[in-house]
Amino acid sequence: MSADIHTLAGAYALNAVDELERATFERHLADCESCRLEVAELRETVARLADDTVVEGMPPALRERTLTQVARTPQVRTAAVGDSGRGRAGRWRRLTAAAAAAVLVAGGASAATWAVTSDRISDERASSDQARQIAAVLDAPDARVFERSLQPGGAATVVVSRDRDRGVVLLRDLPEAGPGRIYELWLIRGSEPRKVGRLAEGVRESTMVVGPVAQAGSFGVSNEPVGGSVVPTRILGTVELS
Amino acid sequence: MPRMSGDPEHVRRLRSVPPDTVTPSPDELLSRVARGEEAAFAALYDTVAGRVLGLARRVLRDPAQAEEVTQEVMVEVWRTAGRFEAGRGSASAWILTMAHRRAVDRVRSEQAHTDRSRRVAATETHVPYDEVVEDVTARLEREQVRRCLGRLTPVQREAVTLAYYGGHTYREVAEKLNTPLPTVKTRMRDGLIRMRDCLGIDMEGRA
Repeated sequence: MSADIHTLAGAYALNAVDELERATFERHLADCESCRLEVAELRETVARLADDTVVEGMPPALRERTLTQVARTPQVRTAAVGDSGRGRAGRWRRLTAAAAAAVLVAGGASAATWAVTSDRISDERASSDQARQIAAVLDAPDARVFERSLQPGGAATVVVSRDRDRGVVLLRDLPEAGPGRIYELWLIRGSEPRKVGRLAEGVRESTMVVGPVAQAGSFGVSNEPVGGSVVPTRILGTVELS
Repeated sequence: MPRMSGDPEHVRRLRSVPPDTVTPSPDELLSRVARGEEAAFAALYDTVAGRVLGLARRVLRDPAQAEEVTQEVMVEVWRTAGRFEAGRGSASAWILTMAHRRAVDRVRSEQAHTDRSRRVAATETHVPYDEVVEDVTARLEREQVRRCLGRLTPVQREAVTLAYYGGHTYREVAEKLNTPLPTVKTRMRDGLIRMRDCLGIDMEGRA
């Protein structure tokens, strides 16, 4: 498990995270069984805090209204067991789309800033624009999700909308880049890599918008010297975008 | 759609429960709700809605909105009961997690509707945070929860209660307390772990 992201377990169980953090953390949970156990236990713990708030003498009209509404509300049919990988991707898209929508609603301040703090961009306007761009991609009807673990560690998720000609890249749990080294992001067309972003020194997770993606066949992450490279040298992995 | 009457099995089951026995657990009720039993839903409502409404009131500080949230959440429980996975936690926690999220979503989206400066001003004129914490400490009804919350360090308790009852993100808590983010994250997690151990919550092997 990644120690960095895992320290969020308490805040997550308390629902004290923004939507993007929640989505990222849930991705982390999907891959970490011991974390799921811990979070489940912390959730039970947190729920007990509500014991204190119990209302005696509930309003009868509320009960009436609720039961009436229930009587005319159909139940959701349970999805078949054994979701395919595609189902998981769909869930992820819905999650992140909801996340981005929430960022928009939240007006950008803290939630949107999170999306780019790892890139050390503090300008609020920039982060709000970025949130909008993220939402535009995630909400696109043609958005598709591609995922891949990286070597020696970490994982990349790329959501691509060909219609919008943009992609949203989520990188998480990247290993230490090493002294004097950073990560750079590439879109690759045929055998031609084009640099589309970089993480600041010491940054090991990020959410960013990349593009144009129309011609790109794959996305890659590489470990480079701080000054950056013209072509990727130490490639951690590439994600096929089709 | 649920069948309420004309279902002999259903009627037999209801009759087979003698009065004055212990109310079925929320978990049991929820699994019956998932099968479309409206009577089980009513019983579940009577078991958990007091906490749902209480929590929503605490977070929203608005009785009318708290009722709306309670109704929304309970209808959602009915609608999606089939998705509940018993191996992952208790029915109460599932419902209260949903309730907390709904309440907090409202708080956060309301804040978003005001402009930034107004929001900051509003936050400053909000009920003082000490009061929230005191209120919590003073009114804990359940002995065990009170005792276990009392075992946290004051700074852990402050972080946990500001987040849960105040509906704040850990970032907001960090800002309010003028404390670094990693410190606040750690206080929340360590505090909850301490509470978990005090409450004796152990889910290993549940699934």
